[in-house]
Amino acid sequence: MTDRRSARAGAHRASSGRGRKLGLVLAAALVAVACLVAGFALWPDDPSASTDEPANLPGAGAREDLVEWTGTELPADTPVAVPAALRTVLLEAGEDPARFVTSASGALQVVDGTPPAGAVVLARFEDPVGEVLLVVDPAPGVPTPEETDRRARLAAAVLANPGTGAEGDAAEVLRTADLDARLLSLLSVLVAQFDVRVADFPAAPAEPADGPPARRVLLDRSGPDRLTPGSPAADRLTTFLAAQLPPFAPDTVEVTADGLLIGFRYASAPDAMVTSRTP
Amino acid sequence: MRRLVRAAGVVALVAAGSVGGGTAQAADTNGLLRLAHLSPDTPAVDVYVDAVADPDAGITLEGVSYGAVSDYQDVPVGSYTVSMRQAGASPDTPPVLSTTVEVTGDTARTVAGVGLFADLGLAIIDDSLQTPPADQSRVRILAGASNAETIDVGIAGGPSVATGLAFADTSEYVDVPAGSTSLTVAAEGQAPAELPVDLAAGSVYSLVVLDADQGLRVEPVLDAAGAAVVPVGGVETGAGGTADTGPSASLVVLAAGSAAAVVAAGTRFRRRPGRHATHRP
Repeated sequence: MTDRRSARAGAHRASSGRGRKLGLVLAAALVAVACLVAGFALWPDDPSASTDEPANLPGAGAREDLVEWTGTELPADTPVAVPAALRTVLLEAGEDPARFVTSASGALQVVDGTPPAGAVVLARFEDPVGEVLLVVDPAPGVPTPEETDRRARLAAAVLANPGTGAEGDAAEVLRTADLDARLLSLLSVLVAQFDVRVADFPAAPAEPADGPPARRVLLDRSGPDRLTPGSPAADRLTTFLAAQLPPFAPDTVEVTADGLLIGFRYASAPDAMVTSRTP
Repeated sequence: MRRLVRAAGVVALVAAGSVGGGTAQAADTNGLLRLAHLSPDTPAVDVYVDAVADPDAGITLEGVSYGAVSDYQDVPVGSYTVSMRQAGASPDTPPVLSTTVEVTGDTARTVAGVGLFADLGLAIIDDSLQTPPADQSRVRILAGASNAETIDVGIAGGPSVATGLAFADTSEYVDVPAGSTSLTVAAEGQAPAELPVDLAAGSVYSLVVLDADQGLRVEPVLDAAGAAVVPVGGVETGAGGTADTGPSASLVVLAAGSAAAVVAAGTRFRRRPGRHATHRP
Protein backbone atom coordinates (compact mmCIF):
# COMPACT_ATOMS: atom_id res chain seq x y z
CA MET A 1 0.00 0.00 0.00
CA THR A 2 2.73 2.27 1.09
CA ASP A 3 4.57 1.24 -1.96
CA ARG A 4 1.56 2.02 -4.10
CA ARG A 5 1.07 5.30 -2.33
CA SER A 6 4.65 5.83 -2.75
CA ALA A 7 4.26 4.72 -6.29
CA ARG A 8 1.32 7.06 -6.81
CA ALA A 9 3.09 9.74 -4.97
CA GLY A 10 6.03 8.98 -7.11
CA ALA A 11 3.82 8.82 -10.10
CA HIS A 12 2.20 12.03 -9.03
CA ARG A 13 5.59 13.70 -8.57
CA ALA A 14 6.66 12.27 -11.85
CA SER A 15 3.47 13.43 -13.40
CA SER A 16 3.81 16.78 -11.71
CA GLY A 17 7.43 17.07 -12.89
CA ARG A 18 6.46 16.22 -16.44
CA GLY A 19 3.72 18.80 -16.22
CA ARG A 20 6.19 21.48 -15.13
CA LYS A 21 8.56 20.46 -17.87
CA LEU A 22 5.75 20.54 -20.35
CA GLY A 23 4.73 23.92 -19.05
CA LEU A 24 8.25 25.18 -19.40
CA VAL A 25 8.47 23.82 -22.90
CA LEU A 26 5.16 25.39 -23.80
CA ALA A 27 6.22 28.66 -22.23
CA ALA A 28 9.47 28.58 -24.10
CA ALA A 29 7.62 27.81 -27.27
CA LEU A 30 5.25 30.67 -26.67
CA VAL A 31 8.16 32.98 -26.03
CA ALA A 32 9.82 31.78 -29.18
CA VAL A 33 6.65 32.24 -31.17
CA ALA A 34 6.20 35.67 -29.65
CA CYS A 35 9.75 36.55 -30.55
CA LEU A 36 9.23 35.33 -34.08
CA VAL A 37 6.02 37.28 -34.38
CA ALA A 38 7.70 40.35 -33.01
CA GLY A 39 10.63 39.83 -35.31
CA PHE A 40 8.45 39.56 -38.35
CA ALA A 41 6.50 42.56 -37.22
CA LEU A 42 9.63 44.64 -36.89
CA TRP A 43 11.42 43.31 -39.97
CA PRO A 44 10.18 44.84 -43.18
CA ASP A 45 8.74 42.66 -45.86
CA ASP A 46 11.42 41.17 -48.02
CA PRO A 47 9.97 39.23 -50.87
CA SER A 48 13.39 38.61 -52.30
CA ALA A 49 14.77 37.17 -49.09
CA SER A 50 15.94 33.60 -49.39
CA THR A 51 17.71 31.18 -47.19
CA ASP A 52 20.85 31.40 -49.23
CA GLU A 53 21.23 35.16 -48.73
CA PRO A 54 24.55 36.08 -47.18
CA ALA A 55 24.28 36.84 -43.49
CA ASN A 56 25.49 40.42 -44.02
CA LEU A 57 23.01 41.33 -46.74
CA PRO A 58 21.18 44.42 -45.56
CA GLY A 59 17.48 44.19 -44.94
CA ALA A 60 14.88 45.26 -47.43
CA GLY A 61 14.21 48.49 -45.58
CA ALA A 62 17.78 49.65 -45.84
CA ARG A 63 17.91 48.56 -49.46
CA GLU A 64 14.80 50.51 -50.29
CA ASP A 65 16.19 53.54 -48.50
CA LEU A 66 19.41 53.19 -50.46
CA VAL A 67 17.62 52.99 -53.78
CA GLU A 68 15.40 55.94 -52.98
CA TRP A 69 18.35 57.98 -51.79
CA THR A 70 20.37 57.36 -54.92
CA GLY A 71 17.37 58.41 -56.96
CA THR A 72 16.96 61.73 -55.22
CA GLU A 73 20.45 62.64 -54.11
CA LEU A 74 22.71 61.52 -56.94
CA PRO A 75 22.89 62.48 -60.60
CA ALA A 76 21.39 59.80 -62.81
CA ASP A 77 24.75 58.89 -64.29
CA THR A 78 26.63 58.46 -61.02
CA PRO A 79 27.45 54.78 -60.45
CA VAL A 80 27.35 53.25 -57.00
CA ALA A 81 29.54 50.25 -56.30
CA VAL A 82 27.84 47.69 -54.09
CA PRO A 83 28.79 44.21 -52.88
CA ALA A 84 28.03 41.53 -55.42
CA ALA A 85 25.35 39.84 -53.32
CA LEU A 86 23.57 43.15 -52.77
CA ARG A 87 23.78 43.98 -56.45
CA THR A 88 22.20 40.68 -57.34
CA VAL A 89 19.28 41.40 -55.07
CA LEU A 90 18.94 44.96 -56.36
CA LEU A 91 18.97 43.88 -59.98
CA GLU A 92 16.46 41.15 -59.28
CA ALA A 93 14.29 43.90 -57.86
CA GLY A 94 14.56 45.74 -61.17
CA GLU A 95 17.14 48.36 -60.33
CA ASP A 96 19.40 49.90 -63.00
CA PRO A 97 22.53 47.81 -63.60
CA ALA A 98 24.38 50.97 -64.67
CA ARG A 99 23.57 52.61 -61.36
CA PHE A 100 24.51 49.73 -59.13
CA VAL A 101 27.82 48.23 -60.15
CA THR A 102 30.33 46.03 -58.45
CA SER A 103 33.22 48.34 -59.25
CA ALA A 104 33.75 51.39 -61.37
CA SER A 105 36.22 54.18 -61.58
CA GLY A 106 34.84 57.22 -59.85
CA ALA A 107 31.98 55.31 -58.34
CA LEU A 108 30.59 55.94 -54.93
CA GLN A 109 30.65 52.91 -52.68
CA VAL A 110 28.24 51.15 -50.39
CA VAL A 111 29.93 49.65 -47.38
CA ASP A 112 28.55 48.05 -44.27
CA GLY A 113 29.86 49.68 -41.16
CA THR A 114 33.25 51.29 -41.46
CA PRO A 115 34.09 53.79 -44.22
CA PRO A 116 37.46 53.50 -45.91
CA ALA A 117 40.18 55.96 -44.97
CA GLY A 118 39.79 59.29 -46.69
CA ALA A 119 36.20 58.66 -47.63
CA VAL A 120 33.36 60.99 -46.84
CA VAL A 121 30.09 59.45 -45.68
CA LEU A 122 27.19 60.70 -47.76
CA ALA A 123 24.38 58.68 -46.23
CA ARG A 124 23.82 56.23 -43.43
CA PHE A 125 21.02 53.66 -43.36
CA GLU A 126 20.31 51.37 -40.47
CA ASP A 127 18.08 48.33 -40.17
CA PRO A 128 15.89 47.75 -37.13
CA VAL A 129 18.31 45.03 -36.16
CA GLY A 130 21.21 47.42 -36.29
CA GLU A 131 22.72 46.55 -39.66
CA VAL A 132 24.40 49.73 -40.93
CA LEU A 133 24.77 50.60 -44.57
CA LEU A 134 26.92 53.55 -45.62
CA VAL A 135 27.18 55.34 -48.95
CA VAL A 136 30.63 56.85 -49.21
CA ASP A 137 32.65 58.83 -51.68
CA PRO A 138 36.02 57.11 -51.45
CA ALA A 139 37.87 59.98 -53.12
CA PRO A 140 36.01 63.25 -52.73
CA GLY A 141 37.30 66.11 -54.84
CA VAL A 142 39.72 68.41 -53.12
CA PRO A 143 39.39 72.08 -54.03
CA THR A 144 42.51 73.93 -55.05
CA PRO A 145 43.79 76.67 -52.75
CA GLU A 146 42.35 79.21 -55.16
CA GLU A 147 38.97 77.50 -55.08
CA THR A 148 39.04 77.33 -51.31
CA ASP A 149 39.89 80.99 -51.13
CA ARG A 150 37.16 81.90 -53.58
CA ARG A 151 34.62 79.93 -51.62
CA ALA A 152 35.67 81.58 -48.38
CA ARG A 153 35.46 85.06 -49.87
CA LEU A 154 32.08 84.46 -51.42
CA ALA A 155 30.65 82.91 -48.26
CA ALA A 156 31.95 85.85 -46.25
CA ALA A 157 30.29 88.24 -48.67
CA VAL A 158 26.98 86.41 -48.38
CA LEU A 159 27.23 86.52 -44.61
CA ALA A 160 28.14 90.20 -44.70
CA ASN A 161 25.01 91.12 -46.62
CA PRO A 162 22.64 92.58 -44.04
CA GLY A 163 19.69 90.87 -45.64
CA THR A 164 21.09 87.35 -45.29
CA GLY A 165 20.19 87.23 -41.62
CA ALA A 166 21.82 83.86 -41.02
CA GLU A 167 22.09 82.90 -37.38
CA GLY A 168 23.38 79.97 -35.36
CA ASP A 169 24.31 76.92 -37.39
CA ALA A 170 23.43 78.61 -40.65
CA ALA A 171 25.81 81.45 -39.90
CA GLU A 172 28.48 78.94 -38.95
CA VAL A 173 28.10 77.17 -42.28
CA LEU A 174 28.76 80.46 -44.04
CA ARG A 175 31.50 81.45 -41.65
CA THR A 176 33.35 78.22 -42.39
CA ALA A 177 32.37 78.23 -46.07
CA ASP A 178 31.30 74.63 -45.58
CA LEU A 179 28.88 74.55 -48.45
CA ASP A 180 28.82 73.26 -51.97
CA ALA A 181 30.36 75.74 -54.39
CA ARG A 182 27.37 75.47 -56.74
CA LEU A 183 24.96 76.28 -53.95
CA LEU A 184 27.15 79.09 -52.71
CA SER A 185 27.30 80.69 -56.14
CA LEU A 186 23.57 80.45 -56.55
CA LEU A 187 22.95 81.72 -53.05
CA SER A 188 25.21 84.69 -53.70
CA VAL A 189 23.10 85.84 -56.63
CA LEU A 190 19.89 85.26 -54.70
CA VAL A 191 21.20 87.36 -51.85
CA ALA A 192 22.42 90.06 -54.21
CA GLN A 193 19.33 90.26 -56.39
CA PHE A 194 16.44 89.05 -54.27
CA ASP A 195 17.42 90.02 -50.74
CA VAL A 196 16.74 86.51 -49.48
CA ARG A 197 17.10 85.51 -45.86
CA VAL A 198 18.85 82.25 -45.01
CA ALA A 199 16.94 80.25 -42.41
CA ASP A 200 18.93 77.04 -42.47
CA PHE A 201 21.19 74.71 -44.35
CA PRO A 202 19.32 71.49 -43.71
CA ALA A 203 21.23 68.26 -44.12
CA ALA A 204 20.36 66.06 -47.04
CA PRO A 205 18.34 62.94 -46.18
CA ALA A 206 20.32 60.29 -44.28
CA GLU A 207 23.36 62.53 -44.26
CA PRO A 208 25.51 62.34 -41.13
CA ALA A 209 26.69 65.40 -39.28
CA ASP A 210 30.21 65.00 -40.65
CA GLY A 211 29.00 64.60 -44.21
CA PRO A 212 29.96 66.63 -47.25
CA PRO A 213 29.54 70.41 -47.51
CA ALA A 214 25.96 71.64 -47.34
CA ARG A 215 24.12 71.42 -50.61
CA ARG A 216 20.66 72.48 -49.46
CA VAL A 217 19.46 75.82 -48.20
CA LEU A 218 16.15 76.96 -46.77
CA LEU A 219 15.19 80.56 -47.49
CA ASP A 220 12.29 82.02 -45.58
CA ARG A 221 12.08 85.60 -46.84
CA SER A 222 12.75 87.70 -49.89
CA GLY A 223 12.95 91.25 -48.70
CA PRO A 224 9.85 91.83 -46.59
CA ASP A 225 7.94 88.96 -48.17
CA ARG A 226 7.64 85.51 -46.66
CA LEU A 227 8.37 82.65 -49.02
CA THR A 228 5.31 80.48 -48.73
CA PRO A 229 3.48 78.32 -51.24
CA GLY A 230 1.76 80.48 -53.81
CA SER A 231 3.28 83.75 -52.67
CA PRO A 232 4.39 86.13 -55.42
CA ALA A 233 7.86 86.28 -53.92
CA ALA A 234 8.19 82.51 -54.01
CA ASP A 235 6.89 82.41 -57.57
CA ARG A 236 9.39 85.04 -58.61
CA LEU A 237 12.23 83.03 -57.13
CA THR A 238 11.14 79.71 -58.56
CA THR A 239 10.93 81.31 -62.00
CA PHE A 240 14.43 82.61 -61.60
CA LEU A 241 15.72 79.27 -60.39
CA ALA A 242 14.06 77.40 -63.24
CA ALA A 243 15.95 79.54 -65.75
CA GLN A 244 19.39 78.84 -64.35
CA LEU A 245 21.83 76.64 -66.18
CA PRO A 246 24.34 74.05 -65.01
CA PRO A 247 26.28 74.01 -62.83
CA PHE A 248 24.17 76.61 -61.05
CA ALA A 249 20.78 75.11 -61.84
CA PRO A 250 19.47 73.49 -58.67
CA ASP A 251 18.16 69.95 -58.77
CA THR A 252 15.32 70.52 -56.35
CA VAL A 253 13.22 73.58 -55.63
CA GLU A 254 10.40 73.16 -53.18
CA VAL A 255 8.21 75.77 -51.58
CA THR A 256 7.06 74.67 -48.15
CA ALA A 257 5.37 76.32 -45.24
CA ASP A 258 8.83 76.92 -43.82
CA GLY A 259 10.17 78.57 -46.92
CA LEU A 260 11.88 77.83 -50.19
CA LEU A 261 14.11 74.78 -50.11
CA ILE A 262 16.82 74.61 -52.76
CA GLY A 263 19.02 71.58 -53.21
CA PHE A 264 21.71 70.11 -55.39
CA ARG A 265 22.45 66.46 -55.91
CA TYR A 266 25.79 65.31 -54.64
CA ALA A 267 28.84 66.06 -56.73
CA SER A 268 32.27 64.87 -55.76
CA ALA A 269 34.04 68.03 -56.94
CA PRO A 270 31.60 70.95 -57.07
CA ASP A 271 34.38 73.52 -56.87
CA ALA A 272 35.88 72.16 -60.07
CA MET A 273 32.48 72.32 -61.73
CA VAL A 274 32.22 76.00 -60.89
CA THR A 275 35.78 76.63 -61.95
CA SER A 276 35.08 75.05 -65.31
CA ARG A 277 32.58 77.83 -65.94
CA THR A 278 35.17 80.48 -65.19
CA PRO A 279 38.64 79.06 -65.76
CA MET B 1 15.38 80.22 -74.79
CA ARG B 2 17.78 78.50 -72.49
CA ARG B 3 20.24 78.26 -75.32
CA LEU B 4 19.87 81.91 -76.06
CA VAL B 5 20.30 82.79 -72.47
CA ARG B 6 23.40 80.67 -72.37
CA ALA B 7 24.79 83.03 -74.89
CA ALA B 8 25.11 85.45 -72.06
CA GLY B 9 28.18 83.57 -71.03
CA VAL B 10 30.03 85.19 -73.84
CA VAL B 11 30.16 88.47 -72.05
CA ALA B 12 33.34 89.43 -70.37
CA LEU B 13 33.75 91.36 -67.22
CA VAL B 14 36.84 93.14 -66.21
CA ALA B 15 37.57 93.71 -62.61
CA ALA B 16 40.36 96.18 -62.41
CA GLY B 17 41.94 97.26 -59.19
CA SER B 18 44.34 99.94 -58.27
CA VAL B 19 47.56 100.39 -60.10
CA GLY B 20 50.43 98.89 -58.24
CA GLY B 21 53.01 101.01 -59.96
CA GLY B 22 52.80 103.19 -62.98
CA THR B 23 51.16 106.53 -62.92
CA ALA B 24 47.64 105.74 -61.87
CA GLN B 25 46.73 104.86 -58.35
CA ALA B 26 43.40 103.49 -57.23
CA ALA B 27 41.99 103.46 -53.77
CA ASP B 28 42.21 100.09 -52.08
CA THR B 29 38.51 100.19 -51.41
CA ASN B 30 37.51 100.41 -55.05
CA GLY B 31 38.20 98.55 -58.23
CA LEU B 32 37.12 98.84 -61.82
CA LEU B 33 34.78 96.69 -63.84
CA ARG B 34 34.74 96.37 -67.58
CA LEU B 35 32.83 94.13 -69.90
CA ALA B 36 33.51 92.66 -73.32
CA HIS B 37 31.75 90.41 -75.78
CA LEU B 38 34.11 88.44 -77.97
CA SER B 39 31.95 85.66 -79.36
CA PRO B 40 31.23 86.30 -83.05
CA ASP B 41 28.05 84.26 -83.34
CA THR B 42 26.49 84.99 -79.98
CA PRO B 43 23.55 87.39 -79.69
CA ALA B 44 23.79 90.60 -77.74
CA VAL B 45 23.08 90.37 -74.04
CA ASP B 46 22.16 92.50 -71.07
CA VAL B 47 24.46 92.02 -68.14
CA TYR B 48 23.76 92.44 -64.45
CA VAL B 49 26.64 92.81 -62.05
CA ASP B 50 25.61 92.62 -58.41
CA ALA B 51 27.64 93.04 -55.26
CA VAL B 52 27.03 90.10 -52.98
CA ALA B 53 27.68 91.93 -49.74
CA ASP B 54 26.24 95.31 -50.63
CA PRO B 55 22.54 95.44 -51.42
CA ASP B 56 22.86 98.83 -53.09
CA ALA B 57 25.75 98.16 -55.42
CA GLY B 58 24.89 96.87 -58.83
CA ILE B 59 25.47 97.68 -62.45
CA THR B 60 23.38 96.96 -65.47
CA LEU B 61 24.92 96.84 -68.92
CA GLU B 62 22.46 96.75 -71.76
CA GLY B 63 22.83 95.53 -75.29
CA VAL B 64 26.34 94.16 -75.11
CA SER B 65 27.11 92.78 -78.52
CA TYR B 66 30.05 91.17 -80.29
CA GLY B 67 33.13 93.30 -80.16
CA ALA B 68 31.88 95.46 -77.33
CA VAL B 69 34.26 96.34 -74.55
CA SER B 70 32.55 98.37 -71.94
CA ASP B 71 33.80 101.32 -70.00
CA TYR B 72 35.36 100.76 -66.66
CA GLN B 73 33.23 101.46 -63.65
CA ASP B 74 34.63 101.87 -60.20
CA VAL B 75 33.01 99.61 -57.68
CA PRO B 76 33.79 98.62 -54.11
CA VAL B 77 36.12 95.69 -53.70
CA GLY B 78 34.35 92.45 -52.96
CA SER B 79 32.49 89.58 -54.56
CA TYR B 80 30.19 90.13 -57.50
CA THR B 81 27.79 87.95 -59.39
CA VAL B 82 27.50 88.29 -63.13
CA SER B 83 24.15 87.43 -64.65
CA MET B 84 23.07 87.81 -68.24
CA ARG B 85 20.01 87.83 -70.40
CA GLN B 86 19.55 88.00 -74.13
CA ALA B 87 19.31 91.62 -75.13
CA GLY B 88 15.76 92.66 -75.81
CA ALA B 89 14.27 89.69 -74.03
CA SER B 90 11.12 90.20 -72.05
CA PRO B 91 11.68 91.81 -68.67
CA ASP B 92 9.99 88.75 -67.25
CA THR B 93 12.84 86.63 -68.48
CA PRO B 94 15.17 85.96 -65.60
CA PRO B 95 18.84 86.68 -66.05
CA VAL B 96 21.08 83.67 -65.72
CA LEU B 97 23.97 83.47 -63.33
CA SER B 98 27.16 83.13 -65.31
CA THR B 99 29.92 83.50 -62.80
CA THR B 100 31.13 85.20 -59.69
CA VAL B 101 34.02 87.61 -59.73
CA GLU B 102 36.23 88.89 -56.99
CA VAL B 103 37.21 92.54 -57.29
CA THR B 104 40.25 93.50 -55.32
CA GLY B 105 41.93 96.80 -54.85
CA ASP B 106 45.29 95.79 -56.18
CA THR B 107 44.59 93.70 -59.25
CA ALA B 108 43.00 94.15 -62.62
CA ARG B 109 41.16 91.28 -64.21
CA THR B 110 39.26 90.60 -67.37
CA VAL B 111 36.55 87.99 -67.25
CA ALA B 112 36.18 87.33 -70.93
CA GLY B 113 33.37 85.59 -72.69
CA VAL B 114 35.12 83.85 -75.52
CA GLY B 115 34.71 81.21 -78.18
CA LEU B 116 31.82 80.36 -80.39
CA PHE B 117 28.27 80.14 -79.14
CA ALA B 118 28.31 76.36 -79.22
CA ASP B 119 31.39 76.26 -77.05
CA LEU B 120 30.99 79.37 -75.02
CA GLY B 121 33.26 80.07 -72.09
CA LEU B 122 34.15 82.73 -69.61
CA ALA B 123 37.81 83.40 -69.03
CA ILE B 124 39.30 85.58 -66.35
CA ILE B 125 42.29 87.44 -67.68
CA ASP B 126 44.67 89.41 -65.52
CA ASP B 127 45.28 92.90 -66.81
CA SER B 128 48.50 94.79 -66.43
CA LEU B 129 47.92 98.37 -65.47
CA GLN B 130 51.60 99.06 -64.99
CA THR B 131 52.39 101.73 -67.48
CA PRO B 132 55.48 101.26 -69.65
CA PRO B 133 58.40 103.66 -70.07
CA ALA B 134 57.48 107.03 -71.54
CA ASP B 135 58.51 106.22 -75.10
CA GLN B 136 56.91 102.82 -75.14
CA SER B 137 53.47 101.32 -75.31
CA ARG B 138 52.46 98.01 -73.77
CA VAL B 139 50.16 95.84 -75.84
CA ARG B 140 48.59 92.41 -75.85
CA ILE B 141 46.21 90.59 -78.16
CA LEU B 142 42.73 89.34 -77.40
CA ALA B 143 41.94 86.85 -80.15
CA GLY B 144 38.24 87.22 -80.82
CA ALA B 145 38.12 86.40 -84.52
CA SER B 146 36.74 83.04 -85.45
CA ASN B 147 37.92 83.61 -89.03
CA ALA B 148 41.42 83.00 -87.77
CA GLU B 149 42.13 79.73 -86.03
CA THR B 150 45.49 81.12 -84.99
CA ILE B 151 47.16 84.44 -85.60
CA ASP B 152 50.61 85.91 -85.58
CA VAL B 153 50.71 89.59 -84.67
CA GLY B 154 53.62 91.95 -84.78
CA ILE B 155 54.49 95.59 -85.11
CA ALA B 156 55.43 96.32 -88.70
CA GLY B 157 59.19 96.48 -88.72
CA GLY B 158 59.20 95.90 -85.00
CA PRO B 159 58.80 93.23 -82.38
CA SER B 160 56.41 90.31 -82.42
CA VAL B 161 53.42 90.63 -80.14
CA ALA B 162 51.90 87.17 -80.43
CA THR B 163 52.76 83.99 -82.28
CA GLY B 164 50.33 81.18 -83.01
CA LEU B 165 47.69 82.73 -80.77
CA ALA B 166 44.56 80.61 -80.90
CA PHE B 167 41.05 81.97 -81.22
CA ALA B 168 39.66 82.87 -77.78
CA ASP B 169 43.13 83.11 -76.22
CA THR B 170 44.98 86.11 -74.88
CA SER B 171 48.64 86.88 -75.33
CA GLU B 172 51.09 88.27 -72.81
CA TYR B 173 51.82 91.99 -72.75
CA VAL B 174 54.75 93.18 -74.81
CA ASP B 175 56.39 96.61 -74.77
CA VAL B 176 56.63 98.16 -78.24
CA PRO B 177 57.70 101.55 -79.58
CA ALA B 178 54.94 104.12 -79.22
CA GLY B 179 53.49 106.07 -82.13
CA SER B 180 51.52 105.67 -85.29
CA THR B 181 52.34 102.31 -86.73
CA SER B 182 50.86 99.23 -88.33
CA LEU B 183 50.06 95.86 -86.92
CA THR B 184 50.91 92.90 -89.10
CA VAL B 185 48.24 90.31 -88.48
CA ALA B 186 48.74 86.97 -90.15
CA ALA B 187 45.99 84.44 -89.86
CA GLU B 188 46.91 80.84 -90.45
CA GLY B 189 46.66 80.10 -94.14
CA GLN B 190 45.94 83.69 -95.12
CA ALA B 191 48.00 86.56 -96.39
CA PRO B 192 49.21 88.96 -93.67
CA ALA B 193 47.22 92.15 -93.26
CA GLU B 194 48.60 95.53 -92.31
CA LEU B 195 46.27 97.32 -89.91
CA PRO B 196 47.05 100.88 -88.81
CA VAL B 197 47.04 101.69 -85.14
CA ASP B 198 48.09 104.60 -82.97
CA LEU B 199 49.77 103.67 -79.74
CA ALA B 200 50.23 106.45 -77.24
CA ALA B 201 53.43 106.55 -75.28
CA GLY B 202 53.16 105.35 -71.70
CA SER B 203 49.88 103.57 -72.34
CA VAL B 204 48.67 99.99 -72.04
CA TYR B 205 46.39 98.48 -74.67
CA SER B 206 44.43 95.35 -75.30
CA LEU B 207 44.32 94.96 -79.07
CA VAL B 208 41.15 93.09 -79.87
CA VAL B 209 41.25 91.10 -83.09
CA LEU B 210 37.74 90.64 -84.46
CA ASP B 211 36.00 89.18 -87.44
CA ALA B 212 35.28 91.77 -90.12
CA ASP B 213 33.03 91.57 -93.15
CA GLN B 214 36.15 90.72 -95.04
CA GLY B 215 39.04 89.39 -93.05
CA LEU B 216 39.95 90.82 -89.71
CA ARG B 217 39.92 94.09 -87.88
CA VAL B 218 41.74 95.27 -84.81
CA GLU B 219 40.25 97.47 -82.12
CA PRO B 220 42.63 98.97 -79.61
CA VAL B 221 41.22 99.17 -76.11
CA LEU B 222 43.05 101.30 -73.61
CA ASP B 223 43.71 99.53 -70.35
CA ALA B 224 45.77 102.21 -68.62
CA ALA B 225 47.63 105.31 -69.52
CA GLY B 226 49.97 107.95 -68.28
CA ALA B 227 48.24 110.98 -66.82
CA ALA B 228 49.08 113.21 -69.76
CA VAL B 229 47.97 110.88 -72.46
CA VAL B 230 44.37 109.91 -72.77
CA PRO B 231 41.30 112.11 -72.85
CA VAL B 232 38.04 110.62 -71.76
CA GLY B 233 35.85 109.61 -74.63
CA GLY B 234 38.05 108.01 -77.14
CA VAL B 235 41.40 107.09 -78.40
CA GLU B 236 42.96 106.74 -81.71
CA THR B 237 40.07 105.42 -83.69
CA GLY B 238 37.75 108.14 -82.54
CA ALA B 239 34.99 105.92 -81.29
CA GLY B 240 34.34 105.45 -77.66
CA GLY B 241 31.88 104.85 -74.96
CA THR B 242 30.78 107.14 -72.25
CA ALA B 243 30.01 106.34 -68.69
CA ASP B 244 26.83 107.42 -67.00
CA THR B 245 28.54 107.64 -63.69
CA GLY B 246 31.96 109.03 -63.21
CA PRO B 247 34.62 107.05 -61.49
CA SER B 248 36.27 108.13 -58.31
CA ALA B 249 39.00 110.67 -58.62
CA SER B 250 41.65 108.14 -57.77
CA LEU B 251 40.63 106.08 -60.75
CA VAL B 252 40.24 108.83 -63.29
CA VAL B 253 43.20 107.80 -65.32
CA LEU B 254 42.15 104.18 -65.50
CA ALA B 255 38.58 105.04 -66.16
CA ALA B 256 39.62 107.36 -68.90
CA GLY B 257 41.54 104.52 -70.38
CA SER B 258 38.56 102.27 -70.24
CA ALA B 259 36.27 104.90 -71.60
CA ALA B 260 38.49 104.77 -74.59
CA ALA B 261 37.28 101.27 -75.25
CA VAL B 262 36.57 101.89 -78.85
CA VAL B 263 34.04 99.15 -79.28
CA ALA B 264 31.95 100.08 -76.32
CA ALA B 265 29.17 101.75 -78.26
CA GLY B 266 25.80 100.39 -77.27
CA THR B 267 26.92 99.43 -73.84
CA ARG B 268 25.45 101.39 -71.01
CA PHE B 269 26.24 101.40 -67.36
CA ARG B 270 23.96 102.59 -64.68
CA ARG B 271 24.17 102.23 -61.01
CA ARG B 272 21.14 100.57 -59.65
CA PRO B 273 19.24 102.64 -57.14
CA GLY B 274 18.61 99.68 -54.91
CA ARG B 275 18.55 95.95 -54.69
CA HIS B 276 15.27 95.55 -56.48
CA ALA B 277 15.49 97.83 -59.42
CA THR B 278 12.46 97.85 -61.65
CA HIS B 279 14.35 96.46 -64.59
CA ARG B 280 15.08 93.33 -62.62
CA PRO B 281 11.93 91.26 -62.48
